[in-house]
Amino acid sequence: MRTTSVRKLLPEAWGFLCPVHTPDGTPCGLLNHLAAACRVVTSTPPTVHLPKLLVSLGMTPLGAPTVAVGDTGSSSVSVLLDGRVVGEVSQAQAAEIAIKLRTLKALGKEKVPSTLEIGLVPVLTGGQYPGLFLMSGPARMVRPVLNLSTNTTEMIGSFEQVYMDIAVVPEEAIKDATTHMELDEKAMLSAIAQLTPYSDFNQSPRNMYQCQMGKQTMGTPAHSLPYRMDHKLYKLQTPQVPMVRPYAHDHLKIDNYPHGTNAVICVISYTGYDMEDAMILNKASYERGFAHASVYKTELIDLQSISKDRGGANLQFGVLPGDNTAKTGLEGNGFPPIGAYLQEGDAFYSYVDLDAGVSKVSYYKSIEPAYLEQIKLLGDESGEGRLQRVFLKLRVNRNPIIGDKFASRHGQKGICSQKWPVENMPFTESGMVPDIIFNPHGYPSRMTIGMMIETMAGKSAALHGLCHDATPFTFSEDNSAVDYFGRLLKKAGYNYYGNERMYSGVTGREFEADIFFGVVYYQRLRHMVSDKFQVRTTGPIDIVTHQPVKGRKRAGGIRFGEMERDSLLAHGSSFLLQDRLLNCSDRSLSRLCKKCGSLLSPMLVRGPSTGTTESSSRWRCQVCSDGGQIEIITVPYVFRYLVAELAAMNIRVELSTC
Amino acid sequence: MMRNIPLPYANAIRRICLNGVPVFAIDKVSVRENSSVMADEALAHRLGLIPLKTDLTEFKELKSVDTDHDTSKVMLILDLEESDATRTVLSGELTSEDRFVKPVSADIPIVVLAPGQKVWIDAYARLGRGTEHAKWNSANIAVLTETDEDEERILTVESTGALPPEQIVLSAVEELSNRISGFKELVSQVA
Ligand SMILES: [Zn+2]
Repeated sequence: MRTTSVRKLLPEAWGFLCPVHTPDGTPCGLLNHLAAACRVVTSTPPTVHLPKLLVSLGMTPLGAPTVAVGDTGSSSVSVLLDGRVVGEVSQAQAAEIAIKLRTLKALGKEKVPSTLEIGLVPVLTGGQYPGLFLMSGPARMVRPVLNLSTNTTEMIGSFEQVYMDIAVVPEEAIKDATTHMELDEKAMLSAIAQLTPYSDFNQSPRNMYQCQMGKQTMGTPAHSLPYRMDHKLYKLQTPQVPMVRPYAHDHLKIDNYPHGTNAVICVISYTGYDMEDAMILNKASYERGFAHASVYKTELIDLQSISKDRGGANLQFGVLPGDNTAKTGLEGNGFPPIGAYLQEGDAFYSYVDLDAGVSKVSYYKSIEPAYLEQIKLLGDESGEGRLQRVFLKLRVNRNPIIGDKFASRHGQKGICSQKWPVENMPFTESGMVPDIIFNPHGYPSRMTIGMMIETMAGKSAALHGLCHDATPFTFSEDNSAVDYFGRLLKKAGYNYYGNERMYSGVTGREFEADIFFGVVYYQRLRHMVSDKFQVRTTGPIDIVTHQPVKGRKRAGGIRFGEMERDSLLAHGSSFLLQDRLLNCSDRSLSRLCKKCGSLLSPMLVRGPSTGTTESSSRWRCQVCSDGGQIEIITVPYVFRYLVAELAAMNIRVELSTC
Repeated sequence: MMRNIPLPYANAIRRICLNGVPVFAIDKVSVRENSSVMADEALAHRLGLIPLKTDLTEFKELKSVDTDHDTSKVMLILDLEESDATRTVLSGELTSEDRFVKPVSADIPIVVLAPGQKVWIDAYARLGRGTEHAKWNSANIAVLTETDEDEERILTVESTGALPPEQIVLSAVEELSNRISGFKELVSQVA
């Protein structure tokens, strides 16, 4: 779908759908998220009394004798309640009724449902069909705004919103026109978009990226870990609460689910390992616990399904009395002790075939070692069945390594490229050493000024022992964020702009430029090399082609395709080309009859049986009458396959041997 | 303050102050029981980071701890009764077999125990260097700053508490001269 109109944020969507929280690319604007304050009506409020109320407000009920509306000449419009015509009213009266009804709704009087939508469509050339449309039913989006005439919060729907006059801030209210005001400037944002600090300083797409990445952080997914058996769960072992936090962070109680670390960052190109969004981690910070994390995995062991495969054997977890448990490390119940460190090939669990009286040990298969965190025994519905199923929860250590992904809260992601020794890190005069080195080239094109403000805010928060409010739309031209935090930094005895004099850790020499230095809340993202790396020397091959199989799980290779081949050809690197496409692929030795040029005709012919050795066996060409001239050549195995396939179609392939 | 000392030499001393002077840190941990919410390896990691008072005269450096044989290791035990209230376990509750090698502070939090939870751990500390792991860093901060005077610098060293800062600097100087004489010997062997 290439059309753009359906992706647009239309007036009726304002305040209901978040303009920031949508992916970029194909699903942009199609995959949307509700604004944080948006609610969905789920109940059906009673409305039987409404027609009567409308009549009392001046509506002419259906079936009433037609009365001359007046000499204004304006025609009357219909009043509809949930799609049902309940009466009609003159155009002028319609507006009056709508205002009165809205006041009753905002004040909660006359049992007017608080979620009633009062859509007054005026007569406009080219506009929607005019009328007073009332909607009360469920499955509508509503959101709170301030009704200025009653000074109460009113829930409005997306249909009526288009015909209402709602100001965002008091300054933009128009006299005699504005009837409503937004509760909050940030009300248009989704819950996740509201968590981005100083998002009003950032280039818009960066805030969109942060909305995607905020959902990929390793953090504190739950507090009920012992009672959960997730297939995969990512948990930060050393999380921190951010020092710089927007209103939503406290409002949504995100402190109970911290998802990052306050990292000291230093904006400098330092080692050459920080190009193209790579970042350098301080090795000492890492060793002291920076972004340490674990992955919790659960495996289900079901003896019933194993039993089915084995023809309905009578199985039970455990080991036989004679089994050497010391060798396997398993306990009498058939499992390793809780906390056991399991490596590939270690005994994982054991069960006994009660009929045959033999035991079978299953081994831990993953190449990634894990700790046994918990064993959960599963019964059946009645709770009386035999123990046949268990959950084994494993804890895999995933402390940061080179290739793991990190991001600040401003759509600035980066890959850890080095763990740099602390003595080589740059240091400030006060002895501070950064946890992360961030490349300054990340700023100009991305324009994430919010991250720079956060750097200053974080630094001043740490210096003064505060938490700073990072809610968007709180600063202005007259009251600038840079000035606010600059003054705080100055008060703490630091440079107004957050810069510091720094020294090279390698040479001890002072840098010529002062370096931007501060504290930024960094998130660890769950994309880790351990899950993604693909490497192969030799390994499984395809039976038909003898070429390496594909796929990371099967220890396969990465395709060296035609375009890659073209590239090597263009460089003239023929040795590498042969290495990739032949030697490391399906190189094979094959016999060829030099005389007739056939790959298929050479055959091993047994000589007269002498009963001694195979010395009498000879390779002969089946086509040439004199046995041909057989030689061994190197060919790709698929080529042999191709020749055989062609032969099946009566096509002869002849190799020229000049 | 350093006067008339070339920058490379002064910086070498700074670097050695950070991680070239051996100090004690817990390196091997046997978890006998741990029913706290903290994972065994996370608990072991926290124990490793507790700075221990170090006596450089009595012990020699090891590459790794042999729990059965080495004499240059110190065992520390954390054996706690089942807690009856939620409480924070502090470093002061570690009992050391050595009268000198023990946590520099008794108030470092290790883990929070809920009622009914228990921790029983044998830990072995050894001498090591910060180049191997940050827990053996002898100084948290070692900074070399320039003054207005020519060829005059100030070396600031903040100790973890394992060794007094003066001793760190003295040991660093000794370490540097050892390395240089070691290098001299290497060169003489080649020549
Ligand atoms: Zn032939």
